[in-house]
Amino acid sequence: MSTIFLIDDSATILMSMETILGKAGYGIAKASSGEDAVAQLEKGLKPGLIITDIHMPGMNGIELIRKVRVMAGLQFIPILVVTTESQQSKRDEARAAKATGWLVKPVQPDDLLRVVKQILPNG
Amino acid sequence: MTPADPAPRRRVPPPEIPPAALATLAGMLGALGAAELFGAPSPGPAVAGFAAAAAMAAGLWLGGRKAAAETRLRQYRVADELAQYRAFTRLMRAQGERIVDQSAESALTIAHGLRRIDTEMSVLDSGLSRLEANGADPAEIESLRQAVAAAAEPVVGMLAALQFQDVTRQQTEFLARLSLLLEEHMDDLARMLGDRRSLDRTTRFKELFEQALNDTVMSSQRDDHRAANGIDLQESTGPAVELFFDEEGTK
Repeated sequence: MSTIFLIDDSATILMSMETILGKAGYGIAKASSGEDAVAQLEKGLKPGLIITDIHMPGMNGIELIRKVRVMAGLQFIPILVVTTESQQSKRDEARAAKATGWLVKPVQPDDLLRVVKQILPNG
Repeated sequence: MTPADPAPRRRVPPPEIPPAALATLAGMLGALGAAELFGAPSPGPAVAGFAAAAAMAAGLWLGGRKAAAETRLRQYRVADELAQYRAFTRLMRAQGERIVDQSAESALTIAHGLRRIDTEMSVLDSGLSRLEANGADPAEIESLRQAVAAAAEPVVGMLAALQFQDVTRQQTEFLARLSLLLEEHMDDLARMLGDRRSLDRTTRFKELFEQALNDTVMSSQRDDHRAANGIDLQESTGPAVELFFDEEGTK
């Protein structure tokens, strides 16, 4: 099964998603900030999917997506945004940064698993 | 001190005479002089009129000074009150931080507990399988297995529900940002008291109100902002789950 890289400044969100996705059989890597995520990716982490929050102290989710999109080997990795924000203009911003999809918190476990399976059909 | 060594005389400043009273007195003296010059029989009524005008001007001037002093005192009082309200906003922010910290700690404790329950349920399920392999009553094993599954079933949903903590944290942080804007405005108002130019700066509140809108991180906050502004309009939020590619998986 693929590794899913979770990035959120909320420990509760990380643990919640880790359990939901871990029980479905996915490997999990975690970061609590955009900067930490970039550092892990630069060290060679190659996840099958990135799930990131938008509103984080320091580097926000959109900036992180832009950075990931210019990193070698990560240009086409799917990136899901999970956020409290649901404004269309913000979605458009994420889409322009080449995010793969958008989920509004709180995310229902079934919705999360359905979307992840859609993006990673081979597990 | 001897009589030959008189005490130095203190210079007492002359009493301040209001300009209006001076002008009236000058006018009165002028009128008296004119009456004398032109041989008027008696300046009585003119002098009485000017005297009354002078008294009125002096009264008005004194009353004005008293009213200005009272206004000034009221302004100081309001400035003091504003300073106290700023302390209240700090208190509210500190409480907000405590609520966020405490709820984060509690949510994590609950999350750890739920994960532990989930793990132990898996252990129980494995144990039941071993008992079944060792010849235990299959009906009883199946009954226990169903009970274990029923106990484990809500765990994921409960963990997902704990996301509320992150949502409420962001709502509380937004309240803290609003309270900072209010404090800034109260600080401005306190400094402006007694400053005539303050009337030129009444747009400040509007700026802060718009800044509050820029600080929002979710639709419900912007809806509340519009409602506070008297606008009955709900934001179009779009679906909770949206993928930015088509059915074939191409962007």
